[in-house]
Amino acid sequence: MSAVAATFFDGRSSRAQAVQLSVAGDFVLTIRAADWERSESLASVRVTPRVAGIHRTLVLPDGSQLQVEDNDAVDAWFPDHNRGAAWVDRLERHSLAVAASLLVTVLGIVGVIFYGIPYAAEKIATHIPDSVAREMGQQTVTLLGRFGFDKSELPKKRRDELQAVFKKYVADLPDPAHYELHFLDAKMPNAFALPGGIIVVTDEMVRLVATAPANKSNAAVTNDADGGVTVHFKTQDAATKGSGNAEDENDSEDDEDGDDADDAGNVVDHAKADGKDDAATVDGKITKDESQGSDVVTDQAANERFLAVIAHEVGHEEHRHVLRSVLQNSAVVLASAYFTGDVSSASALVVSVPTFLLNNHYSRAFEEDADTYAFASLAAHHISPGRFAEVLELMQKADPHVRREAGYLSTHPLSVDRIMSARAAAARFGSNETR
Amino acid sequence: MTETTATDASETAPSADVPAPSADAPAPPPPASEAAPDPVPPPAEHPFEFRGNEREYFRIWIVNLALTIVTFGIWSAWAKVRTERYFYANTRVAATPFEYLARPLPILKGRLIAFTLLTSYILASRFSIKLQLALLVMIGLLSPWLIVRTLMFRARYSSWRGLNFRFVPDYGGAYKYFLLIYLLFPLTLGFIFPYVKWRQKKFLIEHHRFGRRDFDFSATASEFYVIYFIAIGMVIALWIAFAAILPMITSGIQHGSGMTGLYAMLAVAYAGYFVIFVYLASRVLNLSYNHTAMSGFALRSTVRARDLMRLYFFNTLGILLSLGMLIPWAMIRMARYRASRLVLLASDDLDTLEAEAQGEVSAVGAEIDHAFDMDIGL
Repeated sequence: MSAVAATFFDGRSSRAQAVQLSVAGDFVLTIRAADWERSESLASVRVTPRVAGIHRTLVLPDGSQLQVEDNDAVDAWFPDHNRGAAWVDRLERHSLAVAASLLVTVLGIVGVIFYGIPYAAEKIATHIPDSVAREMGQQTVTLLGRFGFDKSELPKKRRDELQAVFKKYVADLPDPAHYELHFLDAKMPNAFALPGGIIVVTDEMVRLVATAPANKSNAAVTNDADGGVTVHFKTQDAATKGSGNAEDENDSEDDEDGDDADDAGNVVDHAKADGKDDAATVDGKITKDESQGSDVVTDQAANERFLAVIAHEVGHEEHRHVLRSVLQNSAVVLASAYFTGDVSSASALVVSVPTFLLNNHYSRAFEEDADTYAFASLAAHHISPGRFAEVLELMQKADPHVRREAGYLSTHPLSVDRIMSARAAAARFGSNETR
Repeated sequence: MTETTATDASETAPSADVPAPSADAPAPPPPASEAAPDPVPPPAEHPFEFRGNEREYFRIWIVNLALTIVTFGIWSAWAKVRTERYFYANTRVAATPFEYLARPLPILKGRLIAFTLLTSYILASRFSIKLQLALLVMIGLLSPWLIVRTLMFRARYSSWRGLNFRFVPDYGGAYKYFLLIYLLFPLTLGFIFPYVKWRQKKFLIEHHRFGRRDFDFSATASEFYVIYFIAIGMVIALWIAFAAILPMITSGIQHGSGMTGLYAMLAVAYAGYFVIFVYLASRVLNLSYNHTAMSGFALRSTVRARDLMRLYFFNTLGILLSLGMLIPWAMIRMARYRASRLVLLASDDLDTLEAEAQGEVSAVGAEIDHAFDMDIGL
C-alpha cells in the first residue's frame, strides 16, 4: 500500500515532523519518520470528521497528533468512523443536496414563521392561567402611569354612561366578568386590550368618537347618505362610496337606531326621522348642547363608535392576541439569536430588520383578526361595522402622520385597507339587516 | 508531503521589543536557541493566512442550517464544531493550521442552558417584573462563572502544532471584572467604562497559556482611554454639527419641503455612529493584539478603520439584500481580512515551544470532559 504524507506533532513540543503513514491489512497504522517508526492500532485512534477540504487530524492514544491532507486515504482507513459526519460531508459536496438544503431552509424558516410560531403561541397562550394574564395586565396598567398616562379627566357621568354601554356589550360574551374597562388620559386617541380582559381607552379616544365625522372632509363618507352635506370627498373615499351599498347601510342605521333607542336614549328619533344626514345633524345638535365643541358628547353615533373601538379590543382579548404576540415576539428574538448567534461579524442591523418586519407582520395579522371579530360582533349587536370605519377615519383626520409614526396605527394594516373592509362589512351587514 | 515550518522558523534569539512576561507568571523554560547572543536580529515575521473560500463555506453553512432546522436546533452544536473546524483549519501561521478538537455534546449542553436562561428572561420580562429581576440577578451571578467555563472549554480544544491553549480559571477575578466592577458605573458616571474594557481584556488574555508559556497583556488603561476619548470627541462633534443644521431642517419641514431633511439627518447620524463604532472597534482590536505577547513571541495587527468600514458596510448590505444567504460570504471575508492584517513576530524558534508538564496537565484535566464543560457561545 502506498504511503501517505502527514505531519506529526508529539504533543510535547511544537516541532513539526514530516512522516509517512501506511496501513497494513491487519488494521495497524504505521508511522515512519526519518529516524523512527511506530505503530498504532487503528481502533485506538480518534479521527476528526471530514469538513470540506481541510486537513484531518488523527489523535493517537498518547495525545500526539497527525495532520493528514489526504482525506480519501483517511476515509479508506476508517470506513466506520463518524458515519453521520461522513454523510453530512457528502451532502455538502453534492450540489443537489446543497440546493435541497437551501429549499429546506427557506421552507423551514417560512413554515416556522407563518405556521410554527403562531401555532405554538396560540396553544401556549390558551394554557396560561387567567391569574397570570391578569397580573400581567395590572402590571402594565401600573407601568402606563410612568409613560404619560394619567387619570381620566372625563366627567364621571360620561364615564358611567360608557361603562354601562360597555357592560351591556360584554354581557353577551362567554365570560362577561372577565372584562373591565379603564379610562386613562394620554396625549393621543388610543385604545388597547391588556391581558386578563383589561381594556384601556384614552380620554382623547372618547372625545374623538364623539366628534362628528360629517364635519371632516376625509371622514365624510361615514354615512353615504350625508354625501349631500359634505362636498370634500377624496378620490379613495369616492371609490369606497361607489362600491359601498349606500341604501342598505343607511337603512341599517335607521333600523338599529330604532332597536336600540333606549340604549343611549338621546336624539335617536331625530336621526331616524332625518336619515339624510344622520351623523352630521345629530352630532351638530349635541355639540351645540354640550357647549365645548368637540368635548364630551353623548349620542347614539358616538356610543356606537365607542363600541366599535371596544369590539376591536375585545376581539384582541377573545383571541388572546397580547399573550400570543408576547410569545411570538419572544420566539422571534430567540430564533434569530439561536440561528444567527455565530454571525458576530454582521452588525445588529442584520438581525433587527427581519425581527422588526416579522413583529409587524404578526401584529398586522392580529389587527385583521380583531377587525373581523369586531365587524361580526358589531353586526350581532345591530351596529353597522361602518362605525368602525368612522373611527379610523377620525383618527386619520386627527393626525394624518399617525400612519407613519409610533402610535395606534403604526403596526396596523394600512388604514385605507381597514376602512375598505369595514365598509364592505357594513354593506353586507346592511343587506342582512334589511332582509 | 505536508508543509512544515522547520525552515522559516530558523531565526532565533529574543528581541528587546518583545514585552517581557508579567512578573507573577512562572518563568518560561529557556528556549533552546537562546545561546546565540550576538547581535539582536529583528524577530521573524510569520503572517497569518486564511485559506477558506466563500463557495466551500456556503455549502457547509447551508447544510448545517437545514439540518439545524430539521432537528429543531439540536444539530447546531455539531454545526458549530464543523464551522469552527473549518475556520480554525483554514487559519494558518508559519504554514501550520490551527486545530479545533471540541466534541459537540458539551456545546449542546451549553447552548441548552443559554437558551433556557434567555427564554425565561425574555418571557419574564413580559409577564412579571419580579420574576424578571430575580432572573436578572441569577444570570448576573452566573455569568462570570459561565464565562470562565466557556473560555476554559474553548481554549482546551484549541491547539496549534499539537500544543493546547489553556485558560487558567480565576473565578474571583471573573466576578470582580465581569460583575462587581459594574457597581462603580453610577459612582463614576460611566467614565470607568474604558477601564472596565481594559481590565476585562487584560483578564482574558493574561489567563491564557499556550503550552508552557503565559500570555501577557502590556496595554495600559490610559491607552484605552485615549481611544475612547477620541470616539467621544467624534460623537460630540456629530452632535454639534446637528445642532448647527437643526434650524435649517425644522424650517424646511415648516416650509413644506417635508421630512426629507429629517431623514437625511437620520441617515447621516447612523452613518456617523457607524464610522465611530468601526473606528473604536479597529483601534481596540489593534491595541489588544499589539500588546499581546508570550515570551519570545508577539503579534502585530494593522487593521485599518476604513477597510473595516468597507467590509462591515458591504457585508451588511449583502446580507440584507440576499436575505441572509450571503452570511457565509461575509464571515469568510471578515476572517480573511483579519488574518491578512495579523503577523506573528517570533524571536524564538517556533519549534521549541513545549507542552505543560505532564502532572500539570492531568491536574487540570485537559483531556477529560468535565460535567460543567460548555460553550455558551459568548
